[in-house]
Amino acid sequence: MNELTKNSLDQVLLDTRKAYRLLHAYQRWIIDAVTYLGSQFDLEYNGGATRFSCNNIHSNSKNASFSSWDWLPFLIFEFHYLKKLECGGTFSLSCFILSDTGYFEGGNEHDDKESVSDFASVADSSSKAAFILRHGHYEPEWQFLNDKEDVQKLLANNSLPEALKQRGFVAKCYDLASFENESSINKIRDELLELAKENKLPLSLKRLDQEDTK
Amino acid sequence: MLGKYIYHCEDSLTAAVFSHLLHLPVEVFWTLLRSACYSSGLPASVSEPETVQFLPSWDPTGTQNEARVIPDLFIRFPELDLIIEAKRWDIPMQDPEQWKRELIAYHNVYGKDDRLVALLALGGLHSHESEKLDVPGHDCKVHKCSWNDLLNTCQKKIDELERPLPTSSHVSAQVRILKHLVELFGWHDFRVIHWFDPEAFKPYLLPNSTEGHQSLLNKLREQIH
Repeated sequence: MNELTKNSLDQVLLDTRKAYRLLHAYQRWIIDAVTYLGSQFDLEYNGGATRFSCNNIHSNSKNASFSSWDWLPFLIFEFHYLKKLECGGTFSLSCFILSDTGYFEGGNEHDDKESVSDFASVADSSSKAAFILRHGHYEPEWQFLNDKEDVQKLLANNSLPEALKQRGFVAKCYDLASFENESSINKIRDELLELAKENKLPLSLKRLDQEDTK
Repeated sequence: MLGKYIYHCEDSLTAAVFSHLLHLPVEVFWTLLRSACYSSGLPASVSEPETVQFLPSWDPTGTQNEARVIPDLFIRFPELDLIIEAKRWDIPMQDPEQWKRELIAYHNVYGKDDRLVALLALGGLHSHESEKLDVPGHDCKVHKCSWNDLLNTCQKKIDELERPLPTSSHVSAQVRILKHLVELFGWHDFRVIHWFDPEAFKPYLLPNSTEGHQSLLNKLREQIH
């Protein structure tokens, strides 16, 4: 390895170490924000899953063709909250964290997740949270998250694919900057409660509103 | 950090939280405790505490206890006697019968002083509304507070004190005490929320473009294949 490459590589590795620490700070913030928001509702956390890549990096599979994205599960991650309804059935709220929308906002002619150069530039991409409320449990229909146009519509105007709309699914998206502080998260909470009310979905606060009892 | 070395239980939580809160100026301590409560029934202010007793042992006469009645904490302020009954977690664990025993035992010891007394149920709540204890001849209201609300109130106070930057050593000391307290909550398995803090990210910010890095890594990868 020549000296120039070695110096460049040292710089790459230094920035990568910074990137991991940046990701740690970023993920801690987002996880805490989602936890705080989720704890406000009358729902139980029901686990989460990566939605851009594969979940099985910890398995004993001998398949060596893992994508590098498989090792970055928080790129698109679903936090799933659930409650059993007294009348039977379940109600779910999923919070999808889209840490980078670059793949979806790149040209529709490219659909190779490995080709990062085809993603929209970081400046033209965004960081989003998408909330989806519905009756039911975990959904197999999240394949729409692989469809760039569907995701673009969701991000642009909270629109879901027709099949999900007909089943009463509703969605609302936010920039992740909206997770900045307690009051901005409380605003999201209130808007989700309003969205549920408008659509006659059984979402409510876990506990009495402090303003009523203080 | 002390939290690493102490055995974590209900008593260690109460001791850790209140020994730190009591290091704060009484007006700060009281405002934090009062505003963390679900009701606003506690006095708006109190003066310097005259007595602070962790796990006092009181005469059980008139209760079902045989040897003693032990609340978690008793604080006498000039304006109010406060009995604190704490539970380890924010899940329903409080027992109104235990509150009654503590009130009766309090009167066995301090009844002749004829003072205003209140009980604070901390953690373990079944409901959030204040309650009046049904013990004939003994007037006492039960106020309620969750550990998580107390933790959040302390975190908000840190934010308030740090913006703008602390201007005196007194304010810095309060921030230090509260940060230590928040850390102790964490050691007792309460979730400490980390709100967005630009300072936490600053050391790790990357150059505007990492395209050069990506190209180099792609080149190295191609050489491996």
